[in-house]
Amino acid sequence: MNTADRKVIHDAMVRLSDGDRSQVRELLGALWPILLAFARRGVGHEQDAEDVAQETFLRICSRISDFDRSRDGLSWAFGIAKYEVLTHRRRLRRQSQAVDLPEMALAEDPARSQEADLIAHELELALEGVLGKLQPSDRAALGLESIEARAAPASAAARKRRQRALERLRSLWRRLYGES
Amino acid sequence: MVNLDELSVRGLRAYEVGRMRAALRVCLVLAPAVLLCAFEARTREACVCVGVLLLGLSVWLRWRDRNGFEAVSTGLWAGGIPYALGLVLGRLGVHCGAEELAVYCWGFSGLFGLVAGAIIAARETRQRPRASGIATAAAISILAGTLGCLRLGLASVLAVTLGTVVGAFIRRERRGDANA
Repeated sequence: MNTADRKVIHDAMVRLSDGDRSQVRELLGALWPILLAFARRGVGHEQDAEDVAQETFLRICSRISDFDRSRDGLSWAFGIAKYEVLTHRRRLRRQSQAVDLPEMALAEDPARSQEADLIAHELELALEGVLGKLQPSDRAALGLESIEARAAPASAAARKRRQRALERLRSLWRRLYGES
Repeated sequence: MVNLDELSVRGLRAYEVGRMRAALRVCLVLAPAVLLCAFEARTREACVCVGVLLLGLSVWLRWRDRNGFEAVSTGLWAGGIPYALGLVLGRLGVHCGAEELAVYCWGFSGLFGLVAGAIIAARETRQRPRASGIATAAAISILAGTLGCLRLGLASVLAVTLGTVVGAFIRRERRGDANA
């Protein structure tokens, strides 16, 4: 940027701070490419750079009545742009921290635990259905008919009966619900 | 892609809001001054009336442009003298309606006005050699002085007004001669 361009921007700022409203358009025309380039370097992402440049321009307009005309206008504008870039970066950092939170919250999400309960309940119903299709002797071998049978020490013959009953239960399950 | 026309409109809106915010800061000084004047029951209505006029005019001038902004500052600085001294004299029991004190009341009020007018002319001609700036600052100064001198009576207000106008005129003419 040469000195003449710098002076054009400074003069537009001085006139705008004096109360000449028409200078908003002039200032935008002169300052926009510079603000956008500055924001691109500071932010990187094109869409974000445009947002930051816009915010910077609006901030300049809002604070121009406090502009000290003895200072260089462009340097003053860069000061505001720098602040906006830093604010944007801080916002991004906060957002990236906030993105991690839902994953942590997911483990304790009550909606998810309700879903898990529902699945477990459906599995129980399915298992009860399959067990109901077993022969009474197989249910007895699995210890489902009485608590005493389940608590009694298992003989070799009983273990063999239980194993066979389990195999029949698995094959029945596979027939009804597949391998999963 | 940013729409620059729309951004220009938003910039103008931000500019006006920023100017209004800067203009309203004068209320921090004027509101207590009006309240202090309105403390006196005898002149309450007149104080509120002049105070509202002074506040409205000051905010509007400061919002409009930099010349108005600075004229209000000059007017308030200069008008602060008759305001403060008027309050002090009122507290001491001086009243322009009383026969034995009328001369002092007139004299002091006129003198305060002269000093205020001289300050206005000195400041305004140094910053901008325009009669409108002096007239605006004098109007603000007279209103501020009126707030302080209301308690002394209408004669005091007239003396301050006359003093301010004469002081500003003489000082301006003297500076004009010196510059020539």
